[in-house]
Amino acid sequence: MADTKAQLIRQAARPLSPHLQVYRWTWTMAMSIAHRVTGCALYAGTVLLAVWLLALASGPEAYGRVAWFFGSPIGYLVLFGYTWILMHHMLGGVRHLTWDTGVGFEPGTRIAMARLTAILSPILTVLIWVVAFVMR
Amino acid sequence: MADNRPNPLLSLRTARSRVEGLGAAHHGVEHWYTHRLSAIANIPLVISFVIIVASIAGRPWPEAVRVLQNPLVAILMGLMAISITYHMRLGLQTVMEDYVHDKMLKFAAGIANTFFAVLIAATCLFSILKISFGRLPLPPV
Repeated sequence: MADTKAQLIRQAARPLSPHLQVYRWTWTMAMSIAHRVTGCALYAGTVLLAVWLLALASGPEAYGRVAWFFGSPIGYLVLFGYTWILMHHMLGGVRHLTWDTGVGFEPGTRIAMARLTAILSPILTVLIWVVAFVMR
Repeated sequence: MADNRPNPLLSLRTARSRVEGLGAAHHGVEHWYTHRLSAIANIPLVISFVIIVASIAGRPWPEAVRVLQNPLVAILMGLMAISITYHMRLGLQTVMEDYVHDKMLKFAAGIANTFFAVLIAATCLFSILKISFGRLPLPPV
């Protein structure tokens, strides 16, 4: 009897961490997930940085090919997306560093800080691209 | 980091528990701290990286090379390559520890994670150093 009961408990389909589906979406939750996703995207994107630097070190032909890709519509899209992801992760990182010190956990502040990441990251991204184009 | 696990002769953990290597490794604080340390380092380094790339974008190869040959630019780029690859390795390790549950797969993913981060760091550093010291065939100014 005791054995079967223990077995039943073990077999019961219990939600496993992080069981996102049971929670109501909040700004802090969404931005926390976005921080992980953008971090993983930046991880993969370092290949672009390595290829770009290696091409620069290899000579004009290799650089020409890489510069052609980054100058194409797809290249621009990738670079613009990468800038946005980078800014999002950086602002999210500053938010988490602030929280690490124990500051900013009040309900209003907490949500405002999470919202700020979402609002500021596209603004910063557009600003960077406008400045980059003006400088050329 | 020094091995600060409790003395196995005094610990109440069973021999089997120690052999299986499950449970706290007592290195979590180092992981947490160095992740934050590299995050703080990343902020100025990534900002300078964005400025450097924005000022190079669209320029022909000789001009781009000359920008990266500037010692300040080269040092900032090198530090950035070290800091971001170190930071991203710690970050992905956390993500894998959370979502990869198969023991062998987790083990393999951990190795692949380190190899990838080191490969990216080595490629970036080699390239930055070659641009600075490699006597690239630049046209005379």
